[in-house]
Amino acid sequence: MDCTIASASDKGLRKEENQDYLSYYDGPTHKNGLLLVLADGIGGRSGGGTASKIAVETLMEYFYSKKNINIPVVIKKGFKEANRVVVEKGDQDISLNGMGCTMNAVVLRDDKMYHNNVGDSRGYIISGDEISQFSTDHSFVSDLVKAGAITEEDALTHPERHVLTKAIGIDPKLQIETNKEYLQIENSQYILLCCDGLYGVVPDEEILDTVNTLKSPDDICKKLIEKANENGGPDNISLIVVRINNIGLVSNLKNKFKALMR
Amino acid sequence: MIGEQLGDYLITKSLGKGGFGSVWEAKSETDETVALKILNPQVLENEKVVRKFFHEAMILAKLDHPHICKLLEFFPDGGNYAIVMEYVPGIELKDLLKQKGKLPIPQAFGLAKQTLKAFQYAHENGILHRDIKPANIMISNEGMTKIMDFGIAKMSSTASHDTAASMLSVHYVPPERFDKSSEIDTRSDIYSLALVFYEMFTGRRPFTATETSQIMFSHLNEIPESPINLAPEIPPQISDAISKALEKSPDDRFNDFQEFSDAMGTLDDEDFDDETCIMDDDLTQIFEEAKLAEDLPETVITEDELEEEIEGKKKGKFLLIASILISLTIAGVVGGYFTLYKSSSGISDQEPTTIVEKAQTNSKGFEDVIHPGDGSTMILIPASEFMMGSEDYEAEKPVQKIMLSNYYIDKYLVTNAQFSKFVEQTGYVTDAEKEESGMVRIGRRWKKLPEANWKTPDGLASIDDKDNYPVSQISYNDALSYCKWAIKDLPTEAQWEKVARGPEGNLYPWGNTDPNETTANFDNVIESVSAVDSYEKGQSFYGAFDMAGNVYQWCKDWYETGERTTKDPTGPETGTEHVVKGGSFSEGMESIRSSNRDRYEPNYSMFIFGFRCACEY
Repeated sequence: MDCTIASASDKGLRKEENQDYLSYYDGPTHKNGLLLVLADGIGGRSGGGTASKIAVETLMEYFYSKKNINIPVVIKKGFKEANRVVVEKGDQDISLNGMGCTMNAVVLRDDKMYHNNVGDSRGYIISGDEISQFSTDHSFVSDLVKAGAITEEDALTHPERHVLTKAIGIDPKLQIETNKEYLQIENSQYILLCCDGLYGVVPDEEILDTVNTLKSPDDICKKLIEKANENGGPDNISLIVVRINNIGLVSNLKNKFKALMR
Repeated sequence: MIGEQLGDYLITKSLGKGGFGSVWEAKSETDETVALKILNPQVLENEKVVRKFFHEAMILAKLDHPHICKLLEFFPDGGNYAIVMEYVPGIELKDLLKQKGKLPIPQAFGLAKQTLKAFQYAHENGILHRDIKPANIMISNEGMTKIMDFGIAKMSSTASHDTAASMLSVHYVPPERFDKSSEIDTRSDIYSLALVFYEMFTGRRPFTATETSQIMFSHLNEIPESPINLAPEIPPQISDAISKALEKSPDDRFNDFQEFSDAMGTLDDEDFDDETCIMDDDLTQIFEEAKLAEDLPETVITEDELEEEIEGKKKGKFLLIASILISLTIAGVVGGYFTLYKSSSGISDQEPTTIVEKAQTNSKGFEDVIHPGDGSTMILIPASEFMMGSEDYEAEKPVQKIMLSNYYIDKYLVTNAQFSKFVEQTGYVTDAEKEESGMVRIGRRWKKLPEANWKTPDGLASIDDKDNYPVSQISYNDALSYCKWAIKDLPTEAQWEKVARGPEGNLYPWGNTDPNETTANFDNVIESVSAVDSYEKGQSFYGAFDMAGNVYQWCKDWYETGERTTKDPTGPETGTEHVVKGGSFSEGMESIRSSNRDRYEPNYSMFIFGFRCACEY
């Protein structure tokens, strides 16, 4: 599979420190696939930033330490391991007590994309003029919407819109489901991982428009950071953009065949 | 942290973590044991929250009540804040309930009265708790309740991304908490406390959903069952008081805890004195047992043993299974036996008789037999061990090797045609028909619809022309009545799970691959039930259809969690809810895993509930 990856992270206009952290595999093709991870630190001081860095690095290390892997299971276990390490560090150092982060991970292998997340950082897939979120928001307001207590519009301005119901580093018994669902990826699609510092201030349509206008992942990253800051930049802004250039001849034929059979 | 000095205190042991910070056991300079709460630095960044907390902490420090855990002092230390609390050796009510289920009435009543006094005292001093739940009620070794975490809860509930608030548990949260236009007041605490009482007296929560959003929905919309319906031994005034405290609108609840306490009345038990008699011998015993159970080590099977990280490991097993299948298929036609209870008409239990039926080898190599009771095809499940449970969810633990004797199970779900015949012959009226309503999902909401019963399961479409579709909108009582009529029984959970997973403990009936539109009716792909023989590729190891998706299926067992009997387990003797398995057409792939389990009361009827029967060998 051939793809182009770009990423960017900016502290925004209102925060003193950037507590987001992101990373992705950048070496020769690896049997385990290509892992991309983004985390948004929770809490002020140094705690949040430390948590997101530890979590992302722990997951990266865990994922590539295994061989012949069942991807969804290893992602899940990597999340658990990241949680364990962050909880442990928080317990050891009083100044880091209570630190945590969101975490969003995607693995690309052949023509499939696997994913999992904790917290409210998001993953989107952009295909032509369609943008759709594949991650699940673990937030108080998203549950309120599902329960029918408030509308999606209410959620945007709800005073507790930043309250999370799940995070890495807070609960040693954090439950993480194995997400066995994968998405079939196709040529020319874009995958976007981002924190709420982006999607909270730049509407989905504007993200879609930027992607389709600029096309280059690098340019898209720069432009979206610019837009988030133009809209107030209230939080740290981080994103990873992947463009699928070519999923490979065999995978491509397989997809076409599947499309014919549908 | 352990061994560190904080102010005048030496930290000796971790006691846990909360949304607001961590809790430690510590020793004072005078060797007094205290509980030290250290606030998260993150919490302290929100000045407004901290100001509010200190305001309340000052009031809390003045509170002096035998049933409130006392705040001794609070102090800053190197940019952190520590709160020193009375140390209460004992057990959390949460753990007591987890171990014991419902409590004996005199003891539950005594605990309730103590907490009501404590909350009334706090209310008179102008303090709300805001996070009442069993984990915040401690029972000391002397049998005294001690309410913990007054005021502190406020911080975690008002903080945002800055504190994670991941500990926000919605099980005990009043409906007005979900409506930002409503104020929280004493009546909100009354609602939460009533939920705790509900659990103490009945052994379960009124709302049993597991998804946060579904629990929220229940708080907002679902009227809880009266406690007395779940535990008939509860004095009516207690049941009524709890129900009133659980009214959706705060205006319909009690105005304060004294009113709540008065409405609960007194117990007509001469031996019981609600002032002093909490720690009688019975409770001492319960308490000791619960503490003992708490100390037991957890299951020894690790997650790694259950869920394979490595893709290749399972392939060998498939080859072995395939070779067994081939040899069984060669065996051809064999005989099958049913032990039946003769029944002339209606629903009755009578003397058993044995009927021999000709059996046919099915496509998976097992024996299919026609049951004479209702003409259904049943599969003979040969005696063997199988792996039951999973490590994925608390309710599914532990993973255990279970031995089951021979038995038969329906190859297909019970159909509308079969159920119609039963109703025609017996005049049976289902629970939904009696109640004149059944649960139906409309968009994202669950709602009781008056028209919903087995003839119109979703309250709209009739079952005409759907003879071969599974009967649904069926309660446990309905399912069992059918079984008795057909001279059959409901499968135990173990029997059901073995049929679904096969001896190797597969994730899904067809193996360990993900479900898709050819193997199961799930994930709302077709948004309705499907004919019982539609998913040939989804057949289980033994050749049973619809063991994942289509409709949930009732099992015989009362619901409980934890270790099972290792041979032919039948679940606990008594309980309040029965197990349902298999997921439904509207559930995702996690819910249709064969180890997934849910539970509902015997009279609970829903349009995604159906069943299949089992039968003794």
